[in-house]
Parts: sequence; C-alpha cells; structure tokens
Amino acid sequence: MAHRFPALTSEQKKELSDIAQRVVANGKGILAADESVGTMGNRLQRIKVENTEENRRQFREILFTVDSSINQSIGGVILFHETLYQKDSQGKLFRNILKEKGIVVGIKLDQGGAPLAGTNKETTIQGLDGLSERCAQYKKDGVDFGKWRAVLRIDNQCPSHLAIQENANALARYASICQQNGLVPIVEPEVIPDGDHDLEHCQYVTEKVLAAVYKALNDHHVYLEGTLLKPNMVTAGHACTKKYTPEQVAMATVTALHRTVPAAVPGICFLSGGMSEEDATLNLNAINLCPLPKPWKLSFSYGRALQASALAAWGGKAANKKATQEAFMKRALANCQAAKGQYVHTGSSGSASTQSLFTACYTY
Amino acid sequence: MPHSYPALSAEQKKELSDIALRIVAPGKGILAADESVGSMAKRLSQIGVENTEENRRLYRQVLFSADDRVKKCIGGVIFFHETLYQKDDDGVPFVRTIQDKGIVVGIKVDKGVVPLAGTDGETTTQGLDGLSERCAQYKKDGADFAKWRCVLKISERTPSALAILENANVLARYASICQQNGIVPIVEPEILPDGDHDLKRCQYVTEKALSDHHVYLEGTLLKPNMVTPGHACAIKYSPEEIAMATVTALRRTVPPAVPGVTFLSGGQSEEEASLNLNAINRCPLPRPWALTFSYGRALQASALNAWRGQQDNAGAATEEFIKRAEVNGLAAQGKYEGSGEDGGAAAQSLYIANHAY
Repeated sequence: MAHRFPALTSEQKKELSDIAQRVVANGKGILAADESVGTMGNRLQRIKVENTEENRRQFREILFTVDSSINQSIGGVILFHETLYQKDSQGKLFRNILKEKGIVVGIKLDQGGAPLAGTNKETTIQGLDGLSERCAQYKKDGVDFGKWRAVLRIDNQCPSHLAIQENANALARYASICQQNGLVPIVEPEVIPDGDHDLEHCQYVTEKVLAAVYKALNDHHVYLEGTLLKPNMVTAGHACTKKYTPEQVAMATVTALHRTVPAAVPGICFLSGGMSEEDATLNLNAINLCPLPKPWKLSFSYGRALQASALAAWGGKAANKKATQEAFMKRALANCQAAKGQYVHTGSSGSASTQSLFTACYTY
Repeated sequence: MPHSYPALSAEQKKELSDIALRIVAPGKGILAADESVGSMAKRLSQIGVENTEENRRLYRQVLFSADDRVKKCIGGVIFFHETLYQKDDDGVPFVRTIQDKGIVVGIKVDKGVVPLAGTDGETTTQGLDGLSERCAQYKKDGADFAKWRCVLKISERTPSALAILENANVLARYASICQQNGIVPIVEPEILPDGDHDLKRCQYVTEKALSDHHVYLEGTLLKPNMVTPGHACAIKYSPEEIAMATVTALRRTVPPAVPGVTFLSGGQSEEEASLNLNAINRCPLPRPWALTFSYGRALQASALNAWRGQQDNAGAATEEFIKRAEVNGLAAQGKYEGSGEDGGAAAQSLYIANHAY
C-alpha cells in the first residue's frame, strides 16, 4: 500500500539527506554550543566570569574564529537563538563565519520542560506552537538543522509508559515540522545518568525509549534518512558503585542501538552527559571499535566535553584567546579520531579534561 | 496496583467534579460565545456589520444582558480571550455579569489547527506551550472551565490512525494541564460532517488517551458532534434516528464517569439542533450522563439577525437569544414540544464547509 499523501517531495528528501550526511561525513561531529542563557550562567560562574551577553558573545567568537581546519572535525554547530544573530568584533555574523568554513549551522528549537501530572516528577517538552513558522524563519536565516531535547529519567516507576509515549510523540511532531521546512531534525531522547542503576538497566531503558521514538517517527511519516539521532551512551547511573570500562560501555551502547535504530538513519551523534572530556572521547572510540554491525556513522554532539578545557583556558580574558582555541581544537581533533576508531590516548590530558562534568538533572 | 503518583488530591477532584456538575445541572447547557476574531468576522459580515473590537463587545453585551430567565437554562458560557477582559456599557466586566447569574465562566484555550504532514489535509491543534501558566491566570481571572477543539474529517482515507492518535493525545495533554490548575476541561473531538461517520472509533481513542494521561473523568465534559449523515448525503434522517445513532455511539465509548456530554451544533439550524437534542433526551436507551448543549451558532443565529449592529434592536435580539436558550433547556430534559413554525433564521441551515471557529 503506497502512501498517497507523501509528506516530502524527492527534492525535499534529497536536500535533507544531503545535509545530514554532510554533518557526519568522515568522522566529523557536532559542537553543541546551544547553551541557554541560564546554562551559560552555570558555565561562566565556574570560571568566575559574569554572565553578560557580551561575555557569551566573546566566548563563542573565540570558538568560531578558530582556524578553518576545524572543518575536518566539526561538521555542524548547534546555536542558541541569541547566538544566531550575534557577530564577531568586526561585525561579521557568526553564522556566516561558520558557513564559510563549510560548517552546517543548527538551532535549538525546544522551549523547555513541562510536568506530566500523575507521574513521579516526569516531564514532556514544549515548543510545538508556531514551530513551523519559526523553522521557516531560521531556514531563511541560514540554519539547516534543528535540535530538540527530550528527557527521560530512571527512578522508581520511571520512565513511565506515559513519559516515553508523550516524549516520543513530541519528538516526532517536531521532526515532522522541521522537515516540512527544510531543516534536518536532530532527535534527542536523553535518558539522564542520575541514579544508582547499573549498566544493564540503562541499556534496557534506552532500548525501550529508542523503540518508542522510532515507532513515533514512523507514525508521523518522518523521513529517517533526513534525520540524526542524539542519544545518551549506555552508562551506569552516576551513583552506581560499579565501574565499567569503555569497552563495556561500547558493547552495551551499540547493542541497544542495533536493536532499535533503523539502518536508514545516517548518523548517531552521542551527547556527552556528565562525562569528562577524556571519557567522552575514549567511549566514542571504543564504540567505533565495537565488533557489532554498525550501519550508521557513530559520532559526537558534545557541549561540555568539547568546551571544558577551552573555558578553563579562557577565564574571561581576551589575552587567552590562542590558548582557548588550541584547547578546543585539540578536543575536536581527538573526537574526530575517536569517531573513526583511531584515537590514541596520550595520557597527558590536563585536569579539566578528566574532571567529571556531571550536574544533577541537567537542563540546557 | 494503586497509583503511586496521584495527579490530583481529593480536594482538587471534588472541586473539578462540582464545577462540571454545576454546568450540566438538569435543564442547563452551555452558550459557546468563544468565536475567534476571524470567526466573528464571518458572522458579522453576514449581517453587514464591521468587525471591530467595539462591535464584538456590543454584540456580546446583547447576549450577556439577558435577564434571569437564562439562569435556569444556561450553566456555562465559553469566552474568547478578548471577551474575558471586556466590560459592558456601565463598566461592569462581562465575567462578573455572568458569574452573578450563577453561570460558570469558561475560556477557549487552543490556538488553532496546524497541518499533519503526510496526511490528506488532516490537522492537529496547537496551544500546549505555556498552557499551565495561562490556565493559572485564567483561573485567577474567573474562569472555571476551558475548551479545546480538535478536528477530524471523514473521507475515503481519513481520519488516519495518525490523526486520531495525535489529536487524542493533544486533547489529553490539554485536559491534564487544565485539571492541574483547577479548570474543568471540555474535550472537543469534532468530526466534521463530510461522510459516513466514524464517531465510535474516534471517541474510543480519545477516551483511551485521557486514561493514559491520568485525566480525572469525573472532572471533564465531552463536547462531541451528534451522529449525523454527511451534508452531501441524499438520505434524510429523523431526529429519532439521529438520537439513536448518537446515544448508541456514546454508550459504547464514553465511560459513565463523565458527568455530561454537551453537543456542538456544527452546521445544524437552530431548530434542528433543538429537535435533535430533544430526541436524544427521549431516546429509550440508558443514558448515565447529562446530555445537553454547547451551542454557538444554534443559540445565536436569530439574535445576530435581529441585532444587525443596531443598538435599537438590542432588546429584541436579546429576546431571541433567551428564546433559544429556553427551548434548548427544555430539549435537554426531553420536554421540548417543537416550535410548529418553520421560518426565518431558526430553520436556515448554518452549514459552512470545513468550519474553523
């Protein structure tokens, strides 16, 4: 039974699929620089820098004006709304700087969580109202992909069936609307690492969540070849006393994915959650070396795990620009190698790169 | 297994259930006066009146200045956002006038339909973003119930599974959020009258979604269409046949816990809407819920026509409204004997293709 009311023409499908593939080609990954104002506040507070629009602009300027060779490891950057319209000190728009380096520009589209009554403090995500119009405007303004983060948590009676269904449905609606407007949707159903559950339990939950997400995407006629997935890696909860190796994390992660993610999805770009920079790289590397079949690109979409050292090096001082850019470039290259299974741990990482970046119940 | 994370306390449940029962007390129904600015444009243009905020205020004043005769037949009024903050010529807020008559104030909270890609022109309804905060504010401003309209259409390939699933889900989210804020949600899954009906399936799925979202049914009202043939259908049906089909469908899908079913009038004429409601209330099948009205056009058509934007006609227009309200109050008890007359606005079909409120 052929579908008589196709959501997209072949031209639209081709455009979406091309964008998605460009983002994850040749080991490239994504810099998630879409921290909301509040979240940037947390980051800047740690390095004792005031959370002003100018300081946020300055830090992003340092990252985006790094040498063009960054385009070998970074295929896309996710921006927050404010940043999309900011410029460097010469008055050039950030989004043009990125595009000239051949980097695809993305935008955070969700509008935060809302409680699900009758559950153990679970949430769904808002942002669907007027989303089509917002996407159309962002597309005009140079954006080619969107991001939407749903949050599931592991706890007593969590995630509930309702939380899984509701978040999967909202993700599917968002994805459908993005595609109607020429934006590739990054689908992010994060199972957060809060809790003391072990690796096996996280794997079980991640499989349930991903299965529901792909069922919803199918129900909503979403074109999978024109999407990217941004899941959590499968890890034990942060309060779990048992420790696991990158190989164990890799095996659990790839097992979960190959049971639930259709091969049509071009790329899976993991979030780093609270992992240190080094762990995020080591785990990604192990994932790419895992002997199971892996029909999708397995790459990164890191925020904290790409920027922690850079932030520490910057400390809010323009004089530290070079050191900041070097720190950022180093992590970008390391993760690009990891995305090809070629990362060699040098052992000389600084304190910022191994420090756990865990913040309880993280909201961007 | 008892539910460990109750959505509502016993007090919250009681408040919601009490509000719902007040609205659908015996012989009472709802005046749907929540036409958006765009919908009012159509109504007013039919009587040659300009669609200004002042004219909309004057028109609603015609309805709300009805005397105490409406107390026994109107249990609730649904407002549009603009109207909730308007006042009459003496500076008295409409909300207060309505409340002083012992009538419950309601508010339309949805933000219209948006397309579902990959379907045959089907839609879902938006309005969930920030809905909790809006409900909290409306509750402070005097509203005790809300309304959200979803639209499904019948054709060869619709409603699709996606449309039913998505609309039922969005209705359930809306209902859950309303109840968290002390507001009774009227759940309106309207199936447009364009073909042979699939009311049963849509109703059932809506009930299932409400259940999944932990919605307290005793604190809701359902606003469905009656089961009627499509407008292009050549066969004519009597009010009794419509009543039997409607009540049968409801009995199979609407749990008895729902205190009231308040029908929309769709494109029916004022008289049809009253006769059908009357027949529904005389239907011999057991009916555990109140079966009443939530009419817009079918309560206002004659009033609008009598008014025609002239203040001199206000009194006569208000009388027309009171007349229809009383007739429907009787119909909601199966006590309406019929008008005997067949003229004017009362019998004129009010059907407008693919109506968006």
